[in-house]
Amino acid sequence: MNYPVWDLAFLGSGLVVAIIATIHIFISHFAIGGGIFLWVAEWWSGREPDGAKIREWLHKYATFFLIYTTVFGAMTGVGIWFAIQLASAEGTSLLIHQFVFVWASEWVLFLGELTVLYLYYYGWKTNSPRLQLWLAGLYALISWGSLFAINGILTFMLTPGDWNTQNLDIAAGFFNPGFWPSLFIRTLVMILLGGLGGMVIASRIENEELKEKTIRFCVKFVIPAAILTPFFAVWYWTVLPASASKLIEGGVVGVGGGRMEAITAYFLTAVVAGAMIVLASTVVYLKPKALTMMTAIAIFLIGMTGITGAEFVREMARKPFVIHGVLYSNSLWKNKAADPDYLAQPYLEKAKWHPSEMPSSLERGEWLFRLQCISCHTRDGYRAMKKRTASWSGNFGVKWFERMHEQGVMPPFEGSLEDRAALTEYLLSLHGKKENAADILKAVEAELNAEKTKMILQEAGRVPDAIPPEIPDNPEAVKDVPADENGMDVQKDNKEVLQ
Amino acid sequence: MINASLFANLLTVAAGAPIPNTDPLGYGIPPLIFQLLSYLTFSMHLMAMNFTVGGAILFLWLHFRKNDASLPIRRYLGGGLPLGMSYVVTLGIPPLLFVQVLYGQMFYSSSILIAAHWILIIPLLITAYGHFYLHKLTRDKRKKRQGAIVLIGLIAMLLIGFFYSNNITLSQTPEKWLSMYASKPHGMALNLSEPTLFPRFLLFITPAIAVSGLGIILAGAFLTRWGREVEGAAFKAFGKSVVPLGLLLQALCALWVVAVLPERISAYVLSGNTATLLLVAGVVLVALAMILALVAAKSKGILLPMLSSVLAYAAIFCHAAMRDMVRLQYLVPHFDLSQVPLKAQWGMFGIFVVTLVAGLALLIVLMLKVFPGMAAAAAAKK
Repeated sequence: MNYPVWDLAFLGSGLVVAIIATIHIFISHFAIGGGIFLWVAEWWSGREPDGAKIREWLHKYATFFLIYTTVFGAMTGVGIWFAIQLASAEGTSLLIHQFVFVWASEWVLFLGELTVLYLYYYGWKTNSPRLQLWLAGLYALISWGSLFAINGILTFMLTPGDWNTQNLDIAAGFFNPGFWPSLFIRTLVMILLGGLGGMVIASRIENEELKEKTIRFCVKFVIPAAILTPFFAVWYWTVLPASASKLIEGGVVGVGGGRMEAITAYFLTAVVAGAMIVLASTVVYLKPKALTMMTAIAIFLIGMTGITGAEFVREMARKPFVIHGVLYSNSLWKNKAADPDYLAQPYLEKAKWHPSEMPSSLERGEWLFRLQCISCHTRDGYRAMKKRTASWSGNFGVKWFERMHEQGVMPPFEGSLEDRAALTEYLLSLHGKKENAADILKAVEAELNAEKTKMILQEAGRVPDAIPPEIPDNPEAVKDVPADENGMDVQKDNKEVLQ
Repeated sequence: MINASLFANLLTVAAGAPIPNTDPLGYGIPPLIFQLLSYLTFSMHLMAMNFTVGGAILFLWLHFRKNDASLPIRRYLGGGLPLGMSYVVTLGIPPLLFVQVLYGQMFYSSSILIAAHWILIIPLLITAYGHFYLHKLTRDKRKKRQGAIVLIGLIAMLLIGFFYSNNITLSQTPEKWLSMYASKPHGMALNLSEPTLFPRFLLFITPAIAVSGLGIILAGAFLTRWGREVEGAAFKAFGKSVVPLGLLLQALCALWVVAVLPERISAYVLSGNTATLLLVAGVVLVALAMILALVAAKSKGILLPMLSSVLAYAAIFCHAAMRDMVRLQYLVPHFDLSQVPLKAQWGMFGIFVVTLVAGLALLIVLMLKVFPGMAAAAAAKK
């Protein structure tokens, strides 16, 4: 309402954030874990009799590490920042204003991380081994420090804890309930990725004895981290807001009932990937010479897939908020949404970003859709409304918007009855249906009158037999609608709303 | 008394511009400190950007002339591209952060209006950075196509600069926003109707030639110091020839910008206030930096070229500060800094300052430890 909304057809701005963030998470976790790995490997190479050969391999690791983490890692990190301001300017503004000095301090760490990495890499031939060990150690420490900083902001979004718009306590927001378990999980996963990256480079060592030794060194990073991570995940689970854990649990239970929710799929992806890595690394430890580069890359990618799963679970658990319990994904503040009178005001009179004159209700409906819905949905692409409204009637749509927030994955609708009808008209028009908002309203009114009549008759002890069936007025609306890709089963949800 | 947010809304309605409300969390410190931090870091970002973009331009100029004598300069420029690029991005983060704190509601709005182009900056950054590394890593093994590789990187950089110019000019002209969003809600807009767009973009790009020329003179001074006099002299001679050319182009673009500025803005800049002072100081500093650079090219020692670099930085600082004042002038009557409440975060600011000072001190100590070894190795190549 405050900001324009990027009407990105088919993809949706949320998916742009997800694509960039997924790539960044892959690389940034490796950037920090790889730093720790470099440090320990530097130390290890100094203790081994064939340390010079190990350092040759380590230089290849460092070259790959430098380019991979700076070109792709740092750039996609900036990319997330670019994308979130386009997807949720209101949310980004809140985070920037509240945590400006955390971001600024994190930048100092970036600057340090980058410079120390260059001093380490470009001083490879001229620095003393002792100085290299120091530089590698400092790099690991500083890059982990950048994780410490961003972890506070990331976890704040899901578990803001005691922070709220009345209590702007930065420490409460930063050291929120999710901070420590998340920090431990991410640190472990990073160490795991550092080891997996080492296996990729070590798989190409020609000297068999050195290859065996190096790969076993790498595996020692992987297995303990993979085994310990689930324990911290359980800890994280216990600090999630009740609504978030309920959302995830609902998905998990759904599998038993034969229904594969998206959130469950991602959860399972993370669990299966973790198990596969433990198994594969054990095999590699036992038969290190057999490890080919393609196999090592495959294991690395499995690790990445697992992380993607876990990150998607975290993102989805935040639904329907961008800052849990504070700001909805479509930039509606929760404290404002608590006021029914505010919610019921005509939306376009409050919103800034629309033409002042809109002759038709269809046009008004499109602007309502643009300003309230497209931060999460598209018309016919990602989280498509066309699919979700395939069997809607006008009457159904108006009622849906009234109660869609009750199941916990949608924000409340902001606007008047006329707004709901106009939005319904627009969504129906996506299917070529021409139901005018005024006609929709008449139908809703008629139904309400019928309901009132029925109630009066019931109170009078007379049950009418000529009253038309109430909800659903369109039985098609609640059947044959598939579970969608985001874990929402429209069929189930519709039934729940209508009960 | 009318509160700040309501006042902003009234102004918005009066001016017909859909300016978002200021963020309720306000400024964590007085805006003047944010502004100063922004100028400091933005000027550093521009130095790095100028060195990298100018380095790519001069590299290509020398590369396509196929002059073997220029090979060491080409190697220096080409080898510096990835390093320069990483600092362009890293030093670009704080000014981008502070502009979001200071002018977030304007900046986010214009970013969303040009969203499709704005997000393209990320793949363009990766393209530029990746190609600069590709050049550095393959130039010895594969001589062919190196010009094309660097050219792709340069084009990506120029496009990024162009999108930035679009966004920043659009962010200070809110009266255009609503009609633009109504006709192009898909983020496909650009601010092409803005008369200052192209001269302003060029005004940011042309100093690149002068700054990279200065970088070449500085490199020449170090080479001379390490006993590689012949190379050093060649570097200095080339640097000396490009610095005045770069500044001439910059001066022409500056005149072009002044010519197309709205009358009330140019009147403001030339009305004898702080902005005028900053403009004049910047021009004087640029002139001094050039004179010192030209003298340094003929003399020994690294002091003069380093001093010249410091003056160039100071000149950019003055112009960055002036640019911010111009922005605020553009935003009248929609916005001024006093509309935003101050919600002090002095403790957090203190943590940042300590981190910054400690971080810079650590980096300086480490550089003092590492550079002598590198310098000795460079001198040994004699």
